[in-house]
Amino acid sequence: MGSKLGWLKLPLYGALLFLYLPIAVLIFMSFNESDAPFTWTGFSTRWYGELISSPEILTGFRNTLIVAIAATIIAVVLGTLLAVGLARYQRSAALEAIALTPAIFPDLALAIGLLTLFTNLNYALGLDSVIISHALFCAAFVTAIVRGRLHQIDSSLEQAAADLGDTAVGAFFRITLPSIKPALIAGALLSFTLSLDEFVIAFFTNGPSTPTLPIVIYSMVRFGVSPEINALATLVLLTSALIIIIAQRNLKVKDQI
Amino acid sequence: MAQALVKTERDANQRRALISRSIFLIPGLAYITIFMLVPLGFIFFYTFLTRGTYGGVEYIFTLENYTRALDSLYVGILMESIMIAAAATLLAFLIGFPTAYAITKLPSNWQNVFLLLIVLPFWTNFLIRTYAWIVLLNTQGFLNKGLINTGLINQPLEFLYKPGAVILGLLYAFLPLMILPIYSALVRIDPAMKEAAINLGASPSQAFRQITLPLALPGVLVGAIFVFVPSIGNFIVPELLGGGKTVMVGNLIRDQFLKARDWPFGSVLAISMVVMLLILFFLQARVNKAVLGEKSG
Amino acid sequence: MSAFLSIENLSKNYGQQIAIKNLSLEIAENEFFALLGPSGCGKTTLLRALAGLESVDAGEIRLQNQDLLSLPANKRPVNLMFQSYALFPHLTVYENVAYGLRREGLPKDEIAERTSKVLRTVSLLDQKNRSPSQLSGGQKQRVALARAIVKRPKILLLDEPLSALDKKVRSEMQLELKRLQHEAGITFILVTHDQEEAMSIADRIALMDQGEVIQVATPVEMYRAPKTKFVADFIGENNLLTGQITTSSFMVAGKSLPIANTQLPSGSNAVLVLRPEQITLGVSGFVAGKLISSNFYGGSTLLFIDCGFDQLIKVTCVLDQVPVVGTTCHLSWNPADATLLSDG
Repeated sequence: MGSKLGWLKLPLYGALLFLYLPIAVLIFMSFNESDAPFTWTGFSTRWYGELISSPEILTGFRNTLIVAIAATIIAVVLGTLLAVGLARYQRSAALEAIALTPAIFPDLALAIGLLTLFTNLNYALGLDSVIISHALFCAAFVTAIVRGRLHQIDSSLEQAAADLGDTAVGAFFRITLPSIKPALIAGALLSFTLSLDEFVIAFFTNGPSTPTLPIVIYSMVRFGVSPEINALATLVLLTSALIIIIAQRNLKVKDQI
Repeated sequence: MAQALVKTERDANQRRALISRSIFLIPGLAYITIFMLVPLGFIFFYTFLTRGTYGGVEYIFTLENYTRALDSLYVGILMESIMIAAAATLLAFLIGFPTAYAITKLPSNWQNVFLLLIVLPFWTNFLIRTYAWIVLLNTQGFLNKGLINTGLINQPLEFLYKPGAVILGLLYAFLPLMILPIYSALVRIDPAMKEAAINLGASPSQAFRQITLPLALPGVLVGAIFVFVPSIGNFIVPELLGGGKTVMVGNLIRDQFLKARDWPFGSVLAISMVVMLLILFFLQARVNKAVLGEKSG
Repeated sequence: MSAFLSIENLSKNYGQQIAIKNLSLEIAENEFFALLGPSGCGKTTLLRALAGLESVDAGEIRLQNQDLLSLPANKRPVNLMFQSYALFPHLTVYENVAYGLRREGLPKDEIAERTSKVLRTVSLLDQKNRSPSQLSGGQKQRVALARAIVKRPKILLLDEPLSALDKKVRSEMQLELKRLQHEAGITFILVTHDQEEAMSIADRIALMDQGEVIQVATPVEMYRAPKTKFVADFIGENNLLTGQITTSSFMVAGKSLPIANTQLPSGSNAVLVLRPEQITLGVSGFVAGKLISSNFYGGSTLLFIDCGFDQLIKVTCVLDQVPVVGTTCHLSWNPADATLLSDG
């Protein structure tokens, strides 16, 4: 492999080095024994232990977990229905564009829009408003993935089911749903990590008493580098990376079918 | 009689089709309408209102928010934001294009591996990835230590808290968004295109410039929009790596909503960002049509 | 005097897979030559090797005694019309056709003149400012053709040029290709998997299988005198009966069929090749069988008769003589017409 690349190896491996070097340094420093943030004194896992004893971090973790799970459930239901609707019942480029917009729209614009809406409705900001907000853009990603999967499978399967007397909803549960299962899993995993790591929208739509983990991290990193953040950051990074790799594997299965 | 029966049967069928269509489409579209389109309408509406004393708005019509946006202070911030975002976009293109091109040259199973490696950081926590640069670039950070140890410098250099650090952070954050669309534009080019150019007498470098590059242009533009727009609207990188010294449109919008409590003015800024996005996508669609002779892309 | 184009002992492998196996071939000037064969037989690899888009492992290609392999792809006097046409979508029809001339650095006037002339030849001058996406399949094909011949190559290579067209446009384009080849005086080498296309269009055909040339002949020769069972099977409709040669006849499935003189030794396994139109129906014959089905093709009808062999016998018959399905038919033929091939 790579023998045909020639000088193109330079940008390829250079880009990967650029993308991974800061992360690698961060992970490395999270095992530093000393609390001096930049001087390596020896290997230790003590900062990982400290994380568990920090009530702030634990609360943030709990809040984030609640938000991510709830937002994922809403997003998968809404996104799947919409993708099937767009693929089977209403082919429209305009509707499709609208359905995918929350995924590519600037997060800041979504965030202030949602803040404005909740304020106007006098809706008290809290975890539920974050859940509603996260489900918005997560659903768009689920729609995109499931839509892609539906593109590949034959719509005549459902038509055959309908022809054999099944109702549209029946055909959905008996035929469509099983065939898009890998896409659903990938979409759910992606939603979960997106919500887990999302900061901007959570920052605007959250109440003061229920910070999510990224908000906790934000308040910590603003005061500079600490080994505790390094340890927390390492865990968060590896968790997301793991989930994304699993999600990717599900999409691969899709390609092979 | 029989005909009437057929007709009601047909009506019932149509009704059923409508119901199933509604079951699938309405929840999602309603959700997007309520939580994205309506709020955007609110924001647009706010741009014509007067700021409230404690946040929110007073329903007094004014165009002052727009004229205020043309104040040299804000025009200056906008220009600086555009320059910084454009620099990040240009760098992302210069690194991203050869990277994407290199990936297309790999055997197909390796292409997937490298694409995953490229996007993986993007899906992880944005704050943490930005923070990682502080660890690396701080005066006592890794880079300075390394440079001092190798004897290249005596005193630690201040990399952070300069526009350059903001550009670097944005480049780092959004580079994958440049690589992916360029990659997908490149792999969609029929390999016969380049072969045809060579067969007609073009040298490999001519074939690249005259055929491959223009055909990849729609992908390059998508990548450019994907890097440029979130860069303009970003407030984390300027805050963490720019040390608050570099103010970008994103910071300004954030502050209008959360600190200055001037929602109408913040709305003007946000709407301009959205309009910029729409204009850029419109231009991209035009180029796409001109290059590939088709609408979708 | 050696041939216009000579290919000698050409070999090409993709790893373990053999694409071209020690292949030699000679093609004359102004010839319309077809490389015919099933997919994966190496015909496209050979074409691409001629164009320089594929490297070869061993062998030589000489064009008018000049070593073609030492020339880079963009310097060869050989142009290729791609199967997908490969029209540049961001250029107009005119720019597509002029592209190759511009690479030669010709003066502007000459480029304009030659481009317009060739566009007129393929009747596309009115469409010259269109984008390829606005053209029909047949028009795209003509642009691709114009783009290749405007360079006045010594050889024009055509990779399955008609496969993307529907049947009616196809036969029009076949005529068009023949006319153009005549007018332009260029050697055409066409790759196709469609034996009818090769037969109707080419002066000579090379039938390829598994990287080797099996037979090179004119279409008529190849139809009349197939060299192997593969050729007999690939070219046209055929009945291939596998059996054994005895002293005076040919034994198939326990039946004895008459044969003319053969060089094949008595007792050897062989294949009797019988074209459907060589068989006649009568009141008596060499074999008899029941009519299973008849397929109507307009001018003629193809009958399928079960004579107790491992396959149904195909017989061509004119419409007003088609028997009722289920009738017993008696089949005879002139033994001198039938070909006997060794089955080794």
